[in-house]
Amino acid sequence: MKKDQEKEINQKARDLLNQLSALLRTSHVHDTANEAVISGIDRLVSVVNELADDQQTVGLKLRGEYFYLNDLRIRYSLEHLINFDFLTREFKKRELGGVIFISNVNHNDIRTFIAAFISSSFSQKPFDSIEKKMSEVQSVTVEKLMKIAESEPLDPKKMVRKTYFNAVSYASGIMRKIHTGEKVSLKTSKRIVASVVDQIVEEEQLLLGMTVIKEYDEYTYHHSVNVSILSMALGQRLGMNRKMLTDLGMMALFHDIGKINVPNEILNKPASFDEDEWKIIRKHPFWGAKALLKLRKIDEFSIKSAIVAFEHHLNYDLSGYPKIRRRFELDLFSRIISVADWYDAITSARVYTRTPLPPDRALYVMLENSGTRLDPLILKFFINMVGVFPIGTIVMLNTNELGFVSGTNQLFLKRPKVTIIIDREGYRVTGTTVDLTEKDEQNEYIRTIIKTVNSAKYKMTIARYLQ
Amino acid sequence: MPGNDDIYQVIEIIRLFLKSKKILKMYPFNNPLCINIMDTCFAKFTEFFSINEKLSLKIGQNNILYDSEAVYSSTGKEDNLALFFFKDGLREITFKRGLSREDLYDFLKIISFDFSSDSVDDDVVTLLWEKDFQNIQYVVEEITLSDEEDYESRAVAEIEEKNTDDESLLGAYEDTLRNGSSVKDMEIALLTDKDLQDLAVEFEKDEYDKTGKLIEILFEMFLLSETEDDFNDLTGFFVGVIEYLLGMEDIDTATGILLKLNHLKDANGVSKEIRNCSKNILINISTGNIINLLGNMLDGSNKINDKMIEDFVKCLDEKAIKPMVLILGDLKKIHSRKLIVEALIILGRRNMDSLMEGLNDSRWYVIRNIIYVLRKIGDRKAVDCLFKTIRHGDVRVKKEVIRAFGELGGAGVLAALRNCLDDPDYQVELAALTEIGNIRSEGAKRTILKRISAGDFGERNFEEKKKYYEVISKWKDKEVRDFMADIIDKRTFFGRTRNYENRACAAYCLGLIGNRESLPLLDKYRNDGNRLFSEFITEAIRQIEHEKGSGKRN
Ligand SMILES: [Fe+2]
Ligand SMILES: [Fe+2]
Repeated sequence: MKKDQEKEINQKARDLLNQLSALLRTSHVHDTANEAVISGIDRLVSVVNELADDQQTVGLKLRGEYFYLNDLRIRYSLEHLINFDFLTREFKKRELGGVIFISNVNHNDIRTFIAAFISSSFSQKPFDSIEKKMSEVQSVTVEKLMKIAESEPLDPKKMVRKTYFNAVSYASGIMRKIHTGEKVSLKTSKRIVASVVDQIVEEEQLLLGMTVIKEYDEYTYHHSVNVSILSMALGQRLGMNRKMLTDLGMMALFHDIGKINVPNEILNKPASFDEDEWKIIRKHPFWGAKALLKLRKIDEFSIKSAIVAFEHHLNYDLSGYPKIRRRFELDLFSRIISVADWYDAITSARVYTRTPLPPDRALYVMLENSGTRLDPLILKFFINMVGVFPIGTIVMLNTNELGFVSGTNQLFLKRPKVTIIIDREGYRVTGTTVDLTEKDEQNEYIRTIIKTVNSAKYKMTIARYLQ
Repeated sequence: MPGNDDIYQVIEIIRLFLKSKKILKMYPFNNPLCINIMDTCFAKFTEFFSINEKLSLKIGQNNILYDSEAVYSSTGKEDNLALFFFKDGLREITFKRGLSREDLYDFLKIISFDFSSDSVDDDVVTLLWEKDFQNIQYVVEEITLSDEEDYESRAVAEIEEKNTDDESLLGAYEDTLRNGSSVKDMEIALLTDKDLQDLAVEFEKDEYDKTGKLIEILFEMFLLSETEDDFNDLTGFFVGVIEYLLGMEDIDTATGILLKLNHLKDANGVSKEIRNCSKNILINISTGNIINLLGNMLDGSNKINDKMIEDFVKCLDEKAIKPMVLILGDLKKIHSRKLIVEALIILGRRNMDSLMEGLNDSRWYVIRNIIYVLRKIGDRKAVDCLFKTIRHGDVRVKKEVIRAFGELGGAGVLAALRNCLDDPDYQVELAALTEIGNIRSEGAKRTILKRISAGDFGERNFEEKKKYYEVISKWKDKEVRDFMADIIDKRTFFGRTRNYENRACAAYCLGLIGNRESLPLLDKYRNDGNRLFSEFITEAIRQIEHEKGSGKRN
């Protein structure tokens, strides 16, 4: 199904749910001869038939906490929550799992259904009562609610993954919306960022691990989330409180928003940019500041975020772009985000470098720019956070095992945790994680990193373990 | 199992939540009413916690349950506390023993917060989350926050697709064994106390308001703008920033921006686009919205720098005149009104017509202010308009018009003032008389002399008459002196008292004129039997004699 089509059906499905819930509410108080009920039925008939036009049968089903239209889960935002919640409860009360409308429903059929639905609440076996009454009607049938097993609590890895992809998905959605000039509320961004802040506190390493996978969807989306995560992790090291962390995360999430104005052909160009293309790329901080200031009335958020968007490619020594005429000191948030941005960008195979640097090499390059292009103080904190071998570095151990760094050790910077992907015999293994601080009986370290590796082949494999 | 007592206590607590919500929305938090309700609420909690460990509320859409008893229910959409929590995903809130007064206060402030504005990024959940309360816990239902719910599986599938097969992976492994680069010995500098101190300084700096920085960036963006769109957007941003600054009562920064734009708008060596855009911005901030904000600021702030306001106003476009006239009538503080009047004196010169439209305002005090402004501007163009205003029903307006007439002069003014002399309100007459005196023209003189000679003049009370003579004394010529001499010499049998009053006034007038040539005449009546008359004669002589030393200054 095409995206647009899906969107349209979703819209209609939401309509259907809203109409149905409105109708049931009215019918609770009035009988079916009441005018409000009659016009409600008519509206529902037209929504159903419209849907039936392109779907033949319209099956509205409740599974777990969600409604589905045939096999498409009906997505809804907070504003519809109330109606949806009402319907969920009413359906559950009656053990009703679904209503199927077959094309060309008419007023009478719907009226029978509504009457059956309402009166069933007095019955001992509500579903049976509805089913019996509906057996005379051809165009509407009902299904019983299926019990689904209670899901077990999520393990942290799954939770982190969920948070992470939720954020990326949100980032892609909001950027598209801002691009098309749609009105956006940042309430959701704040909830997303808040959920990341919570996990930064508890599962920092897992979350940083997620930033290593970069080979999917548009670069800008996961890059924005990665920079946000890296900035917040750094912010936490700098001792920021929740509010500052949330602010920082929000600003970072939107730092590259100006790229929505860069044509995709340029953004995704496999070769290096020519001078004209660079000229366009270099406009994205300016465009970003514009987009953020246009979002709504000027307030603290738009001010801070526009500053970051404008400054994030200005270097510590004010070289970089856009060219500015008057010298000013870069904002603290800009400098933090700049460090995170560098790191994620040069370890990715997009835009700024065609060949991604492995994490440890990336740090090396960044150190070379300390005090000139990067703020030395912030960078120092950053490097202390990610260690000599940042998460995601592919390493060969003295045991001839090959793995990737999956957790850092704050005390022994060169002895992180490593997840083994190839054992000493050269066989692919399912990924046990070893701690390089472990010693044998002779008090010798069991494993030590001897080489770091840069190979896209491994990289793609890491993704599997991180998932 | 909680008893009935608990339930009642919880119901009371919920009631206090609702009441706090209402009161805290209406008054600033430090208002005694607010403090009082929050204290009451805290006291209730203290009472509850003296027996119970915790208070756990289950949130439904239309009700709140405590231990499966409904302690609140409402089916409304507005003011439904259950729904208020429910719609943001809150499903349970638990208060635990040890809840501090501060935390409860903060909680109550959060629930009173106005979330309706577009520019609010918070919902109840994020605010609670940000506070990170020790003894208030809550459960939030997970809601799908993004548009695409199975984004995760799509992304994972895409990653899977690119996954390296085992064979090439092992090939790579062999390759690494042989060729991989050895570890570079990178030393990481450990963090020092100095680093932490430097960081503390950075944090301190970060607390300052960042608007100044944004403004610098906006001016940089000026230079970076290329398209018409860019310039239009920038115009909007500058207007937005000015609005924001006025909202923050930061007139200094706002004025700084305007002065800079005002300079740019005709600066040499600046592109035409930038000059035009600067001009445009100044026009766009001369709107009702900005002027209202300015007015609110003037009324609301105690630290207004008058010079800043003046500079601010000077940069505005004449379009600001109308909205300024409008707010003139709404401002509460005298000082605010004064500043706006001053502003209108500056701006009004640029477009008198716009200013004079204010004369049609329904509020007399606004009209009076506008007339004052017109007087200060001193442009005779205003006179024509004021002929209409002089018919205004309010004496205070009339008086102001009369003063304006006197100051501005011009054709028709004398006639209008002459009409005012017939006004039933003496205040108006007096004002007109004074202004006629100020005009000092031949026509003005005639007008007054004619009034004095009129048959019914004598019937007026003494003080009123005296005023006329006082005004006419400003003409110190022979005609007036002769006129006075005639009155002094005039005797009559009828209405003698009135006649003596007139003669006394004439003596008074000669005294004010101070010409020694009047002395013989005055001397003649020095011992007149009428006490009032002779007193004025004596006083006039004394005055003229006294003037002797100072020469013929008059
Ligand atoms: Fe960027
Ligand atoms: Fe970036």
